[in-house]
Amino acid sequence: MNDIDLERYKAAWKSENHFGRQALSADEMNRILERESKTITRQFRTSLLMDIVLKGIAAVTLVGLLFLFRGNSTVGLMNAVVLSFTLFLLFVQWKTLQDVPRPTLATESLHFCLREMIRFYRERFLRALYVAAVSGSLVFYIGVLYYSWFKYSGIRPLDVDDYVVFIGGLLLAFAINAIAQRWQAAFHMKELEYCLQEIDAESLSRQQLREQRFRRIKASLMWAVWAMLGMLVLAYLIAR
Amino acid sequence: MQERKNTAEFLERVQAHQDIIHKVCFVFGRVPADRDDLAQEVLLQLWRSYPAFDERAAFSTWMYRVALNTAITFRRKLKTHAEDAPEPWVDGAQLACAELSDDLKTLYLAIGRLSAVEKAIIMQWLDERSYENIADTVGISVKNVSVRLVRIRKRLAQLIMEAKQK
Repeated sequence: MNDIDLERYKAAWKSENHFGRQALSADEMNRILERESKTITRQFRTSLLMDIVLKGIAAVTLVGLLFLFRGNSTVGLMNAVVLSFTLFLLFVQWKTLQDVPRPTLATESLHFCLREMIRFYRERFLRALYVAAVSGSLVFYIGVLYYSWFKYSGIRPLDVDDYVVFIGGLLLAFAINAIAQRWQAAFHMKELEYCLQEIDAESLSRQQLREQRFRRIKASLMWAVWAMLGMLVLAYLIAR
Repeated sequence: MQERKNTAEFLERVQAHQDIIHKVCFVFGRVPADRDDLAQEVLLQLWRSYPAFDERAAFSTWMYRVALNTAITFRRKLKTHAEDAPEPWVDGAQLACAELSDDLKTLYLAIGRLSAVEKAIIMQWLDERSYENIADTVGISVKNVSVRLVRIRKRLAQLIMEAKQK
């Protein structure tokens, strides 16, 4: 009974020419071919490039700060540490940019594409996301020091409230950047994982799925912990 | 000159099978803006991959693969995921959908209730693609396609009945 009904709908599906009437002309297609792709890897590449430029500018301005605060050994040391950290993050982002996977949508199965996309999210996207979020704190840090230089020609005597505001600003700048992007990515990643689990339903045990999820959470936590440690070291240097 | 010829040849081939793009976007996109974005992305992916297309499979089979892979892995705007998004044919902005036959409206309504992977499989079955083709596109065994199709067809029939009762 079900099959007979479905054959009728299948015939309707095959014979329907509604979409033929909506067909795009060659000119319309040509215009589309000139646009930018919106795939996640493409957007990722663009945002990586933007972050590299931003961190590059931050590194140059940090060199400026090194020069301006050359008379203050504590701030000088702090700037040197932040500059080294920035250069290291620049290198990490550059390496990530070199490793952005090529799309395989046209040559591989859906199963393969989903697996690659999830791997890309876990191994590259999340790491790059936390590294990029540090840019917010860097901008805040540099902004405060330049403000301080132009306003007071150095660092004025600080009390506890100043430290709280400064450290809070650094953490907030990082958290706002990281959380907003993480939320977007988590939603898409969950969808992809759901599809992959469905395809693998008959071959993948629940235990394996749990392990996959555990590995993802562990990787995210590791990067968050590293980023927080970096902030704490910075805070320690400031408060010293 | 050669590039222009390639472009013309590509556009001609895509135009001959562009109902595949429209059907995939109609099934996977819930709102018109989402469907337009998806159609553009599928076309771009086809164009970028075209130089590597080796003619081993039929062009339409290759198009199906790219369209389905793109539709399922494409990151949409969060707001277009809303569960209460209107069905395509009751969306006032999509007037052309009123031209769909009742059977097709019922069919799309039922397909809309399936999961992404089920949609990918059933669409190819509706287009009478071979089990080997479906298996190759999704990345599962032919036997698995056969088992899943029994299940999906049963569910689709149930959903069609429910849709007709509404």
